[in-house]
Amino acid sequence: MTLSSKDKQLVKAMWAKAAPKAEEIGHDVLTRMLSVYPQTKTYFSHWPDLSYGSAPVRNHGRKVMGGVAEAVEKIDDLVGGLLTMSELHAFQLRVDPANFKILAHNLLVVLAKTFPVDFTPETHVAMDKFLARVALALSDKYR
Amino acid sequence: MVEWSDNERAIIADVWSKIDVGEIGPQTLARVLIVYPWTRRYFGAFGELSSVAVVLANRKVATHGRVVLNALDVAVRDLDNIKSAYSHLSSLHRYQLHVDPANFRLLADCLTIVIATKFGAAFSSDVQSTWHKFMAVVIAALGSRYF
Repeated sequence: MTLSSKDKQLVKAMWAKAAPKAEEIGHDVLTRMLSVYPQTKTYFSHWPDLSYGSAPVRNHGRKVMGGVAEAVEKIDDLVGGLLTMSELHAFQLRVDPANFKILAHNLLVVLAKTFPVDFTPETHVAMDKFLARVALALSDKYR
Repeated sequence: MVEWSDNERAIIADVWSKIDVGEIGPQTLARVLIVYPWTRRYFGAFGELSSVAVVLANRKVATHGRVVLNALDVAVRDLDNIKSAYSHLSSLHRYQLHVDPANFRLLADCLTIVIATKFGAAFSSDVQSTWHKFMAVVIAALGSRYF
């Protein structure tokens, strides 16, 4: 599943629209992930408050969006560009890679609801492919 | 046995009442064929499916999108018996259509995304959770005759 230049263009265009709302989007994505897929809460047992609007959820949403933004910038070499992030997820966070798909799905849902006109089928497939490649890059150092 | 709270029943009924099958069905199936192009393997009889524009314009895709989405009505109306209600459909998909059950989740994901484009902020995380549970039950029911 290689990203064509058209895919990369669509991803960058979608991200340019999303970036000004990154904080709000990140918060929405995380909240949804935690409530629609409650098994993901197991990674956050150290947070005192997992509810909507809580500081840890907001902060983490911001962090995750920052990570995706970095991936967009490094779209031409995701494995190389996300090496440090992969090491973080592999050796410290040890998040099961199945969860990358879950986060990706929730990001697509939030983009769809926030940008119903821009989130065309072409943008949808480009973003889905991109996030799949990001997941692959993030799992690179796992074993 | 799946248990549904009163709130979940209300949410599912509400979401379903706001879905125009004639609009959402075609869009959902089109997205499945565009976002997951390998699904085209099941639609050899539909003619041209080779590009986004062609899929979106394909009348057979639109018609079939409506058929698929209409079939969800059965589940919405009989939440407590989805597995038995879909027994025949499950056998159909397994023994006649030979559809890989992995595809049920792909369709469910596209449907969720199309609903999100229609509902916007109204597609809150509570609504999404309930809808996700409903789709999970539908998916399990459709896969129930595969073993």
